Amino acid sequence: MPDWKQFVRAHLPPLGLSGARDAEIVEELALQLEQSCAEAIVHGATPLQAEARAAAQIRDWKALAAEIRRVETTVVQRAASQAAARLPGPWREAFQEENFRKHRGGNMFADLFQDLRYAVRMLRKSPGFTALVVLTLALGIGANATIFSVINAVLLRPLPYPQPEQLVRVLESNPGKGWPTFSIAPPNFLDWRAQTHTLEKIAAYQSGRYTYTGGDTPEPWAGPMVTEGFFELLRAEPELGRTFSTDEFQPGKNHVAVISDALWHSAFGADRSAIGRNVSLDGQTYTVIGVMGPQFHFPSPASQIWLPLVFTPDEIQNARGAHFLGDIARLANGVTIEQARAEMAGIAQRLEKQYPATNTGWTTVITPLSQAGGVQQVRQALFVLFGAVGFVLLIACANAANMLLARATVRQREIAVRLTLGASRGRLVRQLLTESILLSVIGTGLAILIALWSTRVISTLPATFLPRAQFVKLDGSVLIFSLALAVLTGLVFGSVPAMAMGRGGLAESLKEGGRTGSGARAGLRKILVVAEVTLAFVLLAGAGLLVRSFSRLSDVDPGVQTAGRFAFSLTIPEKRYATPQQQTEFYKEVEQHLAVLPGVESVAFSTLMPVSGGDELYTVGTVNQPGTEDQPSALSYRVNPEYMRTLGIPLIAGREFTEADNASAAKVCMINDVFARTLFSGHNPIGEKIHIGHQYSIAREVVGVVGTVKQYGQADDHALLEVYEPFAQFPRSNASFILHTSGAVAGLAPAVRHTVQQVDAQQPVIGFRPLDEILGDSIALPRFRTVLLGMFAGLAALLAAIGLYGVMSYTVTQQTQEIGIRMALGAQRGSILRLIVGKGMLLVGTGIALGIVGAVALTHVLVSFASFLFGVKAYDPATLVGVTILFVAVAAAACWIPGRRASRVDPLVALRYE
Amino acid sequence: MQTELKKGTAEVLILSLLENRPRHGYEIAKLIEQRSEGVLEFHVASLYPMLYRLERRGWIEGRWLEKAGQRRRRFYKLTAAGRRALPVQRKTWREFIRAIQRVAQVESS
Repeated sequence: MPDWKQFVRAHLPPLGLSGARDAEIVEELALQLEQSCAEAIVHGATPLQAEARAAAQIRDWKALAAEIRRVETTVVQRAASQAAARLPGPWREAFQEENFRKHRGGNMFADLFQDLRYAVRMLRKSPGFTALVVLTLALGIGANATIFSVINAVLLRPLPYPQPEQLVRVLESNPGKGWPTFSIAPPNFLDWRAQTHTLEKIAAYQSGRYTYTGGDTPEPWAGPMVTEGFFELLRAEPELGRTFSTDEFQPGKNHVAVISDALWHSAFGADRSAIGRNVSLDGQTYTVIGVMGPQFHFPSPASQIWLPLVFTPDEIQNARGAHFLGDIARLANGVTIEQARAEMAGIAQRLEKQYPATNTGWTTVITPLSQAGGVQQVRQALFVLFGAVGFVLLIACANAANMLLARATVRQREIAVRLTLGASRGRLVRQLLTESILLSVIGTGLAILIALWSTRVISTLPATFLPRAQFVKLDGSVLIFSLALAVLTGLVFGSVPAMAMGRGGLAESLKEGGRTGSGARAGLRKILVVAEVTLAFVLLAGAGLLVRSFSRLSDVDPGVQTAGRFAFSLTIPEKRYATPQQQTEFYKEVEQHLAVLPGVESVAFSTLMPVSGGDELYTVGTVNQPGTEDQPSALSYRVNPEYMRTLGIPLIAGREFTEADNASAAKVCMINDVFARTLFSGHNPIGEKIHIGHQYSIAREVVGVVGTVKQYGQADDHALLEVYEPFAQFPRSNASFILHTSGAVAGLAPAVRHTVQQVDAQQPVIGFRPLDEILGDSIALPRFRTVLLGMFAGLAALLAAIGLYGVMSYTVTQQTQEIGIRMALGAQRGSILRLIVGKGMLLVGTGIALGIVGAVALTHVLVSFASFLFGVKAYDPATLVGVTILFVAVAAAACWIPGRRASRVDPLVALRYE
Repeated sequence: MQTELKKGTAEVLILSLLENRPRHGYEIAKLIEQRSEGVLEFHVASLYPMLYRLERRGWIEGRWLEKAGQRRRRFYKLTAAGRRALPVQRKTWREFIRAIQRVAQVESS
């Protein structure tokens, strides 16, 4: 008995069907022959006869195969299968793939797996294409994941305290003077605390710096002094020991300290016996009573130590104009923030009536803690950045869609073959979408690496740059966001070519021989490029505005010279330097030692670090002028005679301080020009006498008028009153030094430290920094958003250029034949180049025109955000012109390269090109 | 004409044979031969393409069935569409045969 299957296979010519169907037919025919044979034997034939009879049933195998072929396929399919047999590898594969699918029947998961396998194979076949798309998407998604993680940490993440929604910050505010929020004066705080019912608790704090002298070297420690209820209202429990008890806010009993987890580790080696130990701060002894948990950082990440805040009798009674407290409050149960606002506004109004001299114009603002501390300001910047990265992602999508479209044209024949074989469009669309989603998922993997790196960089930014930056990290929600984005992105950029495929005619693409793209598809690609150029232009224009605004901002004269100036602070213990005399002598001695250091030209010191944003304000008034209800406040600086010269603050009238203006001499002061204009409108202030809030009874003679210093940095446009006094006439234990050096001086920091410790071995030097860095802190936020938006805009422009280049070089490839004909007919290389570049520039021109409209519309959004643009209008022609020139240059380069290649085409090669 | 006629005949025969129960290819060939008392004989070379054509058209459906101890066979059964098509086919044939009778004066026995 022969193997009938083998017999059939040997005789039947190839059917050109799928392997599975082929086998089925062979099996069925073999069965037929086998049974006839068996039957013949039953009827008495010899095996040989039977075999011969069975074999004789089919004589014309060729005709049978032709017949089966005709039956099994339709007209178009036959054409396709004939074409497929002649096709190169991938198409033949697709053909067989389709046959395979059709006969296997639909199973969703099997299909999905099949699609994935097929997609992986297709992507591996063109690694260049895959890499470009993946990189494009990785940049787009990575930028989004980064900004999302920042938004997540800064805006969305709940505060690490129980019932955080009840926590608010109550601040003073004087809208009339242009101070939307202001520190609190102690008597006002005490009145609020006594009168409020809507706030369950309110606690104030004052930032402090101390010198710790218990270790090998003196160390600066920082942290607030806090009033009663501070820890309780935050509902923060210590991880070790306890927090302050009520009687520890009594004078004399307040020498206790709560320390941070970080300090507990660094200073006490996380030893549990730290509780009860004494530490020496500024020469005073404090007992450590508690250690907070590692999550507790209030009010700032830099807080290391908390001490009880006890007001002096003077502060309680007379300091209504002295604003220096921060605070935190918790709403009572069931109270809304509006109710608290209403109540506090009422209290402030009563205080205004009661104390018109100090409280006129002052009211309160209440902000949820989640939006306090610059979060509100950053919020707008983050939303703009989120919009920007959204644009970048759209451009990346357009780019990827474009590349897929270009490839879809190349794959047109493969797709046509599969369609004619009966693949449903839905099935093919799903296949294409699987491919694009796979691309974006791979891109997302890379994007997560990018985000991992960038969030790590961002989390190290100081709080002045970005509040709550330390919480920025890549967590689960960011990952979920990125993955959702990946799928969405894949759907978006994949559906464009899929839809285009759905529209393309079948017969047409088979006839075309897969050479040229259909008109609609080419049009779609052009639209995508125009859209990319438009989006990138808008983004670049926005970034351009910010850059210009930022450069205007950094050009603002801060009122001091910062080049070559270095600053640091000192705090001497009041126990060892108890008298004003001792304090003055210490600072004079340090000044003298520093002045002789090589490279140091002059030495200044002041109670207030200039341009640092730190402040000390006192109410001021003139002696001879009738007192107004609304007493102005002035920033107070107590400085040495060298101060103005060292900082380059111009003297406008009168004289500077001299060494003769000492403690025993007549009390003198200098004022800034704003002070002179405000209180001495019109007449010469030199020789006039004024009062300053810290010692209001003393009248001080104005001896000079100087230029205004922008204490709150360059973005601040409220001209503040400033008053200077000789340090010697009202010294203090802590002060800041500013050294004017002749350029970069090597080893200056250690030399300064050494010099200071020559005078007092227990003195640490706090924060040795160039003054322009300190000034830079004031514009850190504008710099942050400018740098980031600039980076994103650059990325967008790069992606748009890649997209343009891709489309242009693709067009050139497609038109090779046409170019060849033109050149054969005598066209010059130059005219070919012009043709190609011209075509590209038409797209770019359209994109730019739309971009200008979009830019003007969208940058209005920037303007509507307070303090976003500084000295620049939304439709800044210079920016638009600049961005246009930049764009045209980039676009020209992107078109020129393919154009040049086109002009070098060999006509003979081109004519044969298919 | 000859082949068309043959094809048409074959279709209605196959559909009729499958009306009551599924059968496999060999059985169909045998039954046609037996019931026509040897008058109609189907070449394997035309039977199977015919089955495939009907299957493609959606009138019959083939399925591999395995019986214990036997080689698996492909059984064909009538689909709903085939069941609807059969009376129409039969009617067409009846009319065709009547026409032949009238023209050729053939008496039915």
